[in-house]
Amino acid sequence: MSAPALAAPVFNIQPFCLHDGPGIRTVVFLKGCPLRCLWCANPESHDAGPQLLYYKEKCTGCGACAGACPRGAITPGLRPETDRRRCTGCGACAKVCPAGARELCGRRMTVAEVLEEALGDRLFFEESGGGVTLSGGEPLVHPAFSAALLAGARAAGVHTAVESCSYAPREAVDLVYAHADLALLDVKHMDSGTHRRLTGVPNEGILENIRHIRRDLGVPTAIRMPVIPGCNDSEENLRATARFAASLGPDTALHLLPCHRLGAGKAERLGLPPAPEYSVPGAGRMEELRALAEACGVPAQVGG
Amino acid sequence: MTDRVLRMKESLRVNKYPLCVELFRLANESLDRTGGEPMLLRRSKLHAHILDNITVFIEPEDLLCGSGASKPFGLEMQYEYGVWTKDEVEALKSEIYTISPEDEEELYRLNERFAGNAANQNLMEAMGKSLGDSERLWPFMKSGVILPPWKDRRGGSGGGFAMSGYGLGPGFSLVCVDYALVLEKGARSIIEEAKACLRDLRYTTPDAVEKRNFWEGVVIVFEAWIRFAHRYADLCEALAGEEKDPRRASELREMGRICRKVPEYPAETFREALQSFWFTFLMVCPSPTSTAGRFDQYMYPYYRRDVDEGRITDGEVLELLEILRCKVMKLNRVSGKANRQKNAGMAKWYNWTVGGQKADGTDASNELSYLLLEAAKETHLPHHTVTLRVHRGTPDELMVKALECVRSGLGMPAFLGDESYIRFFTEQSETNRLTVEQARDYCATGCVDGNVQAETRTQVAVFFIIPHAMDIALHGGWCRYTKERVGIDVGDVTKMESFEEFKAAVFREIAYLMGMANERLNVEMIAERELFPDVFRSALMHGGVKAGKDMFSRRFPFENGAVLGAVGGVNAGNGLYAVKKLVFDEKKYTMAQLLEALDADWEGYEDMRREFRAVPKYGNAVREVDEMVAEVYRFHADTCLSLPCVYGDTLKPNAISISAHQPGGALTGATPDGRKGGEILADASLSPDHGQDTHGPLAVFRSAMTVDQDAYQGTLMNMKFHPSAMGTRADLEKLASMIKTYLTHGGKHVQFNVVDRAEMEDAKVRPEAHPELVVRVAGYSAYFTRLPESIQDEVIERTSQSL
Repeated sequence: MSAPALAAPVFNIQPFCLHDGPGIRTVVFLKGCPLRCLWCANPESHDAGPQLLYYKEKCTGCGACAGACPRGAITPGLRPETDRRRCTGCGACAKVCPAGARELCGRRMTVAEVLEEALGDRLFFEESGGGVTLSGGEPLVHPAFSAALLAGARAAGVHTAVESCSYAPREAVDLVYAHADLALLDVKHMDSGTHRRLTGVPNEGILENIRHIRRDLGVPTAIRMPVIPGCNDSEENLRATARFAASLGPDTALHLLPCHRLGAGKAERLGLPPAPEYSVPGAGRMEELRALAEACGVPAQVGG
Repeated sequence: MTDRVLRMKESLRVNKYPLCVELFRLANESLDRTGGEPMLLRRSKLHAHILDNITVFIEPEDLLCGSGASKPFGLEMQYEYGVWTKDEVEALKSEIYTISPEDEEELYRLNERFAGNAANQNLMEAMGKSLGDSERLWPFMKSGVILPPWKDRRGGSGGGFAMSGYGLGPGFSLVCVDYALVLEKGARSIIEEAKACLRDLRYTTPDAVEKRNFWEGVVIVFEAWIRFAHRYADLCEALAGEEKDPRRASELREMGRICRKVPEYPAETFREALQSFWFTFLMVCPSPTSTAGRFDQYMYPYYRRDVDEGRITDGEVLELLEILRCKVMKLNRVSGKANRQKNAGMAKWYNWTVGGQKADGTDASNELSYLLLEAAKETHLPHHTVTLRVHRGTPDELMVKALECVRSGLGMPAFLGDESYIRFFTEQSETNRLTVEQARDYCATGCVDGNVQAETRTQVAVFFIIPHAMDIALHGGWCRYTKERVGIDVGDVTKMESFEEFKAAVFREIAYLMGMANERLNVEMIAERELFPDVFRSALMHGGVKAGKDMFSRRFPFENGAVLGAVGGVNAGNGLYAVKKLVFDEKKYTMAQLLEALDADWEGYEDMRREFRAVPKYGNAVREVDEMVAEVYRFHADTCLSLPCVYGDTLKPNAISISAHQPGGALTGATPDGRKGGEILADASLSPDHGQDTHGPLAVFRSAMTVDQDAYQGTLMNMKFHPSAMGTRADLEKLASMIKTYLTHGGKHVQFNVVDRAEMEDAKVRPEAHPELVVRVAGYSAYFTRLPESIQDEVIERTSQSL
């Protein structure tokens, strides 16, 4: 298959992003992620397949969805029940819903289609020094697609960045990061056991990949650490993370991202059990952590 | 802010503004005495009489002499609007104005005594005679295709001309005079020049007498202006004599010295230049559209020299600029009640332009540009307006400074694109253009209407409601609002076979109606040129004294006399595109069905309406529909540029709706873009229709860049931002680059409103009222009303933290 015809599930192409790399950027979110972080704000990105989102507050209970479902997965009623096991994410119900209470999340798009949309704002990238950021989910789940997309953006003269958890085979990493001008790499915890408890996977391979991206592939890197109170915000872990970032060499930054509650309600819309709630660290606490990190020899900032 | 500015700012909080009758009395006294004389001399003597007799006063702590009225915070009743009827005065009193019983009594007495004087009576008569008595134009005036719909053949929308609202009216001229001339040469040299012209006058041309009248008028007015300044000098000296505080006494003596010197003689220091500027500004400021133009340019030499020679510090300059803001806050003007409603509150457009380019194309910004922005930010007063001219070489630092000012919640400055503004003046036609060096001296007059300082001016501006005109085309020339025949019959639209044929028919009708709008503008211009000559501002145009003519009787190298504003161009383009797609391309509906649905205001056609609404709309970077909107604007512009203007050349296109999209929408029936009859039209001229842009601000900019804006005197784009999108310096730099991209790729104007918690709370309850509210969510910005409630709450919570 030719590169422009490669396809992957995309759940959002977000223009006008200011905090995901230099300048004004368009962020492409791919669906599918090998991690299951307890605090995840984007549960719709976990599964690579298309998924139905249901906004109960918009639903009028008209029953149009039940009639449209080819699999008979919807039981009509004031609050129609969707049997998620039978739902294939075909989107027939979303098409007929007059209230906009049903929306299909995730659409297979080709590299050419994504590029056409993502490069629409190219004029604004040029003036601001921005470009395209690939995010997810996890872009490394779709290595051929991701590599082709980044190569296409670069060929168009646009700066490229990849936001990733780095949990992937080395070949995928090599394939994708060959086309990245900037790596935004998550480190959720420095202790492998705790990492597994928080995200479902150990961290040795992740840290190895990060070293490889920074040192062997020479991609400018920012380490991004989500700050989740009670999970990874101990001073010990922060220091370890900062020291790790510092060990990658000069020009590696550390971004401390305070957790937020903007993913609230998403689980319910997907028919999943609610995610646990974490308190949001205040500006004062974030500044404390930032200073602590800088003391370990890495330039640190709050936010991306 | 200094304590002095703080106290002055505090003193701005008054509940009621006093109505003053002095100007009205003095003007009418003068007109009474000068009956039968040429209007140039009558108006000159009128101005001199006011300058010699109006009460002068100096408020505590003020460092600048001169006010807009005979009482502090006062509003002088304008004589140009004719007689002030009791119901007009009662309406004023019920708002934020008050009038003393003696003054009110005197006003009615003056009305009676001078009923025949008021020059504006003649304006109403002249316009009524031409427009009301014409069987062709009268239905058009009533239709509301240009606002407001007239109700009275004798000239007006029901309350006389003063209330007709959307014309600029006699006092509203869009012009920036040559302040530098006054600062550098002084009034005395202007008088000497006029006297020399009188000496050299030979009666060999048909306009010789007109010129004599003009030069005599110049001498009369400028001499009176010098006496006016000397009255302030006398007052300063008297107050200094009584003053117990030695510091204040010395301030007053210094102010007196300055008023003895300027505007009569050239200014030599920043303080002298500022006083000279302010006296000049007060002379042109009966108009609420008066502009200070490029203040940071003509004031800079005085600033530079004083700072270099240690006569003034930046702190002292800032204080003076802040006092200036307080003084502008107190300027006011009374206009009819209908006009006040349309301009929502105390609308004033006292515009200071900063930045931009010098004549040679290099960046013009300087320390004063920053200090003006700082004064706006620090005082947080809505007036005067500051507008920033942006070109490729505008320093990032200045952009960031401007955005800090926007972020503070002021919504200022607006950003203007030099490239497109300059092309308006340089590329229009062989016979009507300026050199690029001249055009680089443009500034915002009024709102964002471009005029070049002392080189071009605009007298009349009226709004044209395009969707209303389109509706008339669909109905065989009949107006649904007045149920009368207004336009021409462009053929039965239900029988048209192609979209091109349909579109051509609609455009033919619009062009016909625009032709009548142009006649309406010309009628007002002819009448106003006759009735309201003004030697002061005319002498302060380039070559003004030598020309010997009022500025509205001169043909300028770039003639910009009248503009016709396009309102609802976005609705019209969206509507045409929906017709193309659903009626002609996909043939889902017939034109007959569409007409039925529109006539029924979509009642009973809800599914059909939903489909017409679902067709892609302007503002989402969808090429086909954006190009349709661009074609509507192109057509409006081309048509304007084909209609003769009586001041010379042609009518010029403009596209700034101010608030006309509201009354314009109120009288426009249902439209094919899915809009119901009576609903508001799209805001500004390039903002998407309410809530129809779903792809963020960059898509809106890309849509707007499809429209050829160069032909327009001004266009408008309003955006709303949440402060969280403007948190760090890096954020501001990115926004600055976004603005620059738009303004260097065909964009003309953009301004931002920054929203606060209260607005977001309201947006939760009434989302329909806040469709364009942009907030920052996680890593991106989104439309607030599209967010789930939980996230709305989160964003609101976060705002209160970040502010």
